[in-house]
Amino acid sequence: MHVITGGACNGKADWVKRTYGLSNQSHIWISAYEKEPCPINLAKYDTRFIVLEGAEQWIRQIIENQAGEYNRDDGRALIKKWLKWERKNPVHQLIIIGTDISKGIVPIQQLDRTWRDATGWFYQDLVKESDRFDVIWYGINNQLKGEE
Amino acid sequence: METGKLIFITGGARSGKSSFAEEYAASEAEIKAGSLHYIATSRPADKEMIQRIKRHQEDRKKSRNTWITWERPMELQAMEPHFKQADVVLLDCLTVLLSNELFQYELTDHPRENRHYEKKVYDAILEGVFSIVKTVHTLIVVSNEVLTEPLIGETVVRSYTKILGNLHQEIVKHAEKAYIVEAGIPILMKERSC
Repeated sequence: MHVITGGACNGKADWVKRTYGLSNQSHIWISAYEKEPCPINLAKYDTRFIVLEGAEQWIRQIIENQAGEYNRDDGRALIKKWLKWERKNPVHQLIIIGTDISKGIVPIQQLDRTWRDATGWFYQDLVKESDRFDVIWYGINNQLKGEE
Repeated sequence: METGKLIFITGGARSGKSSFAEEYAASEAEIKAGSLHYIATSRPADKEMIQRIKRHQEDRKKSRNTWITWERPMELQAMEPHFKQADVVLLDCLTVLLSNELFQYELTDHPRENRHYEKKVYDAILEGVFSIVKTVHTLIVVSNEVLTEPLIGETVVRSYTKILGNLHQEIVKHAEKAYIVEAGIPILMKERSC
């Protein structure tokens, strides 16, 4: 699993497309920004790559569906389910993109605060399980975990 | 065609990015013996802003270099004829220029309707930046790190975020060097290999 974070509109998706040459690769791109719901079971996909974009939006939906609460174990369980797909076949590569929302002033609304905290925890849990982690800054990658 | 150098400097509020940019500009100008230009983008809207502008002006006065200051809250494209090939130009800062350019239009709550203005503003600012780079020895663009907080609701903020992010990406792509300044310490994020 390759995790990519970085600020809004910093070129994360473009970097992923470029780095993996996705225009010539069999892949599925599921984006929260296109209002797609959070995928849980990936077993039905048989492409080489799956890209899940906008993780922070799905975290927000999870919180809204749990009456404003975030249970960190739910996030960890979701990651385990995603990883099941990747481990099924050695050519499978899972790529998760999330926007960094952690560096502003503490939000006024409780829900927004919970969202910001939960997203931070979720990213920590993702990166822990990942093989590679990159932070994108205006199109430039800074690799913080993994080989090569 | 020969073109000047583009340098990108960003950082948080009070990170020391402007001071670093001014020193950088001054040392570049010394090497080339060109004039030093400062493009100020702020409009003195309130007392705090007036003081802030004053502080920046004093800083530049104190330095041993002579700055030529241009007040240019909008229309960067019109600046290029004022510069010569050996000149060093400092633009401070991109976020304010973008506010001034974007909020001259009446944006709506419909993202689709705003796209036309977003493109117009984005193109105008880039045209300004690259026309100056082509003319001068060095253009230094100062901007702000504002894209890492939760985006909640507001369509107008989304427009602003999108344009600023895209501008930063395009400028970093063409920059010879890109820095982020943390508490006065510049970190080199990109250096073009020759």
